[in-house]
Amino acid sequence: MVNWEKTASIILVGLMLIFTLFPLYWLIVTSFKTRLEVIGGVVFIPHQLNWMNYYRPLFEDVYGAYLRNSFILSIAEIALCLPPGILAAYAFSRLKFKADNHFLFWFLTNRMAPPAAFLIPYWVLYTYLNLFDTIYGLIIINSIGNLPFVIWVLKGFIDAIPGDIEEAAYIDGYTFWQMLRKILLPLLRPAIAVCSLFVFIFTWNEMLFASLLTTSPAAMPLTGGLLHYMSQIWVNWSEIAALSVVANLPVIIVIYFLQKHIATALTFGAVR
Amino acid sequence: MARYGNLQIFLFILPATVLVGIFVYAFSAWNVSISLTDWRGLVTSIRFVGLENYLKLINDPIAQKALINTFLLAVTFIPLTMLIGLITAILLCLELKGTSIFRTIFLLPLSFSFVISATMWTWMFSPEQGTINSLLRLLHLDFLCQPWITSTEQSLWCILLVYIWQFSGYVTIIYYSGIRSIPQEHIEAAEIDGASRFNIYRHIIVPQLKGETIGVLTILLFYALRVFDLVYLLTGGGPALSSEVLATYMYRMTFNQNLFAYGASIGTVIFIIALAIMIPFLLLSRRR
Repeated sequence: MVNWEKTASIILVGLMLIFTLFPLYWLIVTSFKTRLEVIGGVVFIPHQLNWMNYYRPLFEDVYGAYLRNSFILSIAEIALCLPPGILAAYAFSRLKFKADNHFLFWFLTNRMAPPAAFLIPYWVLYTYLNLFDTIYGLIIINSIGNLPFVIWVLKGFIDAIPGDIEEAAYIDGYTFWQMLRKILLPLLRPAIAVCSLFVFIFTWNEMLFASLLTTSPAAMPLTGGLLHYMSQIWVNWSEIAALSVVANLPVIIVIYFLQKHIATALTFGAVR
Repeated sequence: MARYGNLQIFLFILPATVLVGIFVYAFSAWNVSISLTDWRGLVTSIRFVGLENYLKLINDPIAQKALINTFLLAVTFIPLTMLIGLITAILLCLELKGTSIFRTIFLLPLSFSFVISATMWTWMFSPEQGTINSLLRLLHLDFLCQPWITSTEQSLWCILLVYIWQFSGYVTIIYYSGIRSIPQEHIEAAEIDGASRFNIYRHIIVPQLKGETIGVLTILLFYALRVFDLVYLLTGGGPALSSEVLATYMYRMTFNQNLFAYGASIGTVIFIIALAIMIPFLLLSRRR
């Protein structure tokens, strides 16, 4: 009886694993196939690793520029959102608000409003301010989602630091900025690292604004580039698979380091 | 209590609050004001038309179809994803004593950008050379081959499948850590008392996962209310509007047909629906 249960569980979990992993496996395998292998029936393992699928779009086409934009955008986002995020998180943690925190959180972030509610004004504003198709424009718009995220994740960490430490610093004559630099920041270092990596992922994966507000290789990140590739009439599936692998590789590396924190961060309403 | 000045600290809140205030709420208000005109994008003449766009929207059969599809996706996506996640978590935890390698594996789909998962699944679903149909032919199961996203009957359910693929792993992980934090003695005691497996799950494990359930539900509801990306990327709302949801309809009307004011009114409706569901949900879920 118990054995029967065990077998059924293994089968069910096995199916779930196949469902989860097969598309990923297929993506990687396809990225190394020749065009003939892609269209000529099912090939589980390509005869040889065809690196041309990676080389051509990245080095002979514009997709290398999209990749560069993605890196610039994601790193700029970390640099832009972390400093004000840390300060605001401290403030939200130490000041006492009457309102229910959870509710306040939803309202003070972009989570209440679906993008459809303000997409048109963005588009209008960006057209008039000449921010359309610039990397600055994308940086600004991404921070609207990222900054609140940083604040509310860091707030959770700061809540756990006892206020006595700051009191002692105050009595010892530390200015606020000294206290921040010498006491708070060292304590928050792991939290800041976690936040930065999440901001990296969200920005890296962001698609809607990237595709709507940028058009040229000078500003468009890789998500928009992939969409652009897909909209072509003739799609080379092995190249697009290669680009997808390239686009997802940094995220998978980051996720590996973040896996312990993922539940926490997502409970805070993380959104790509 | 000796503390740093509250005023200075209060100023730290301003940048983020102002940013969200302007770019989310002021812009939503701007969107509402656009929806009360007849603005058509590049045309400069703008006339105030009151609620005309909304009246048109109520009688628009495509909008009705899009609303029904949005609703259908939400009411299938949320329970199915939660159920699959819960079952997988229970099996992993109790029957297989799974190790942490599963955590990495089940986290993978969530880490995918919607663009990549959509690209991948478009290739999976492609009827001619697509992976699923090719595999079926290889196994001589040709009769199981489906038109998938190219069919008006199946397109919406293909999208649903991709959503489940992307999110069920996340639900699994949340429930997995939830089950792990339940004291092992509770389960053992029930086992000694001769409770059946199913009853242990139902009466001991599931009731203790209330916090996780609310957390997961919040996130899934959040995504369901803004369903756009995967629909837009996989089918664009087609074929023949069969998978159109409100947000793709809004996008199409605005950026393809230049009916900015009409698009804005759809955007406002999406916002109102989101508020009408999210506010009561947040208030109720807090009152445990």
